[in-house]
Amino acid sequence: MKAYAQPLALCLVSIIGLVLALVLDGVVENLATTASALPLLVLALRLRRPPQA
Amino acid sequence: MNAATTRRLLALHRWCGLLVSANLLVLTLSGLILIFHDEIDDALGVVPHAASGPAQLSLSRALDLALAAKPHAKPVFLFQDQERHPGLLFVGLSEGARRLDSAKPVAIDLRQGRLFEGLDLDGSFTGIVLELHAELFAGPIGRILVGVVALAFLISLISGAIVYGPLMKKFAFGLVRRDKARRTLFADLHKLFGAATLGWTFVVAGSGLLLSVGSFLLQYYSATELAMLGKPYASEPVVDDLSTIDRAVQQAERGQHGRHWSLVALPGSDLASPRHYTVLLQGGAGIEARVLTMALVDAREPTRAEAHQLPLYLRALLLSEPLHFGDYGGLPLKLVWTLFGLATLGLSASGVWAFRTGRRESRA
Repeated sequence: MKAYAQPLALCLVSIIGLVLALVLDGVVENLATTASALPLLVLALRLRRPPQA
Repeated sequence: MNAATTRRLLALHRWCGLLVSANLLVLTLSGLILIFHDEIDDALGVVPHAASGPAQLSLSRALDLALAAKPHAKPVFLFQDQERHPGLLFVGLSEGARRLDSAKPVAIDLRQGRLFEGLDLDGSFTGIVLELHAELFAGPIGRILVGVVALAFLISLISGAIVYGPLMKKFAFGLVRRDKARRTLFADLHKLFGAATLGWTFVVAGSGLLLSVGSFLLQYYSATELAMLGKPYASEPVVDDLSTIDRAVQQAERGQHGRHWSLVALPGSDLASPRHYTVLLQGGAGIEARVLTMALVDAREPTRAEAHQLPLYLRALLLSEPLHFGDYGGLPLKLVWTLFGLATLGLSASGVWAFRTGRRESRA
């Protein structure tokens, strides 16, 4: 179960961010858009410096 | 989860992934272009701009102007987009059946009373790319094929997400082993790209699946609920005198709290009865702006209007479009969409490479 935690968290952040950006307006919309891009930041960081086995 | 179930899910993930990979390349590349369709259309001057100032032309006069330019055509719909094309009216005309999807639009500048000839949205660059993306240049069959690809992609995503746990239980999240066999490197990259893009790919594949059946959903609505509403008038001749259109639109907008009309399906079209205008209204903020409401207005007595709620599946369809193309949050969201699109290409390429190198290495 532990292996699912981070991917699931990223998935939820992305989906909730994208949906909130659709249904809300103004500052919250911008925050939601930024949150939806969080998995991309994690991807970039992990590609740059992957954890050791 | 036992080993046999994991193996079966992995096989399902692998073969669904391979099935969609080539199509995904085409759909992602065309989708990347379509994210910026507004900017591309503006740069190429696909849609003309209206002059500034207040509207001088009524809708009925604009309809007359459109019909004077194409006297053998039948009017099917009126459309306006006050945000993107202020002052412009699009009139859909058809020389065959009065179907919304087969009608060709002409643009009219309501402020100068001028008709723009030669508007060709389908033949524009983004129009052609959209046809590739939505139908693979194969018409309704292509639309079904795209739907099958979206479904296979969703199955691949779900099965991949499930087998991720057993495969990664001994490893840290985001592990990329560069010192091992090439297959291991590609498989690690595939898992990392998959975990990072899962939410976005799920939203885009799900909304894409819904959009691929969108025209069927509209036909279903037209043949069921809308047909029931228009049943008492079904045998009447189609109302050809459309001089009541301005009053009908005003009546539809009355009491709608700032909502304005966006599309009018004219009497006899596939989204209206022979006697009614079907007026779709939009406005408000946030989700309200995305979900259209509908009013049926009697074309003979335009004071008679009935408001109707669109069914849940059509409201879901309306929300699917922005969620698929990412055009609802301005440039920042478009950039997010682009990066996710590129990451999805990485996901697909690493998966195919892991499969290929794995087969080569096992043969050697």
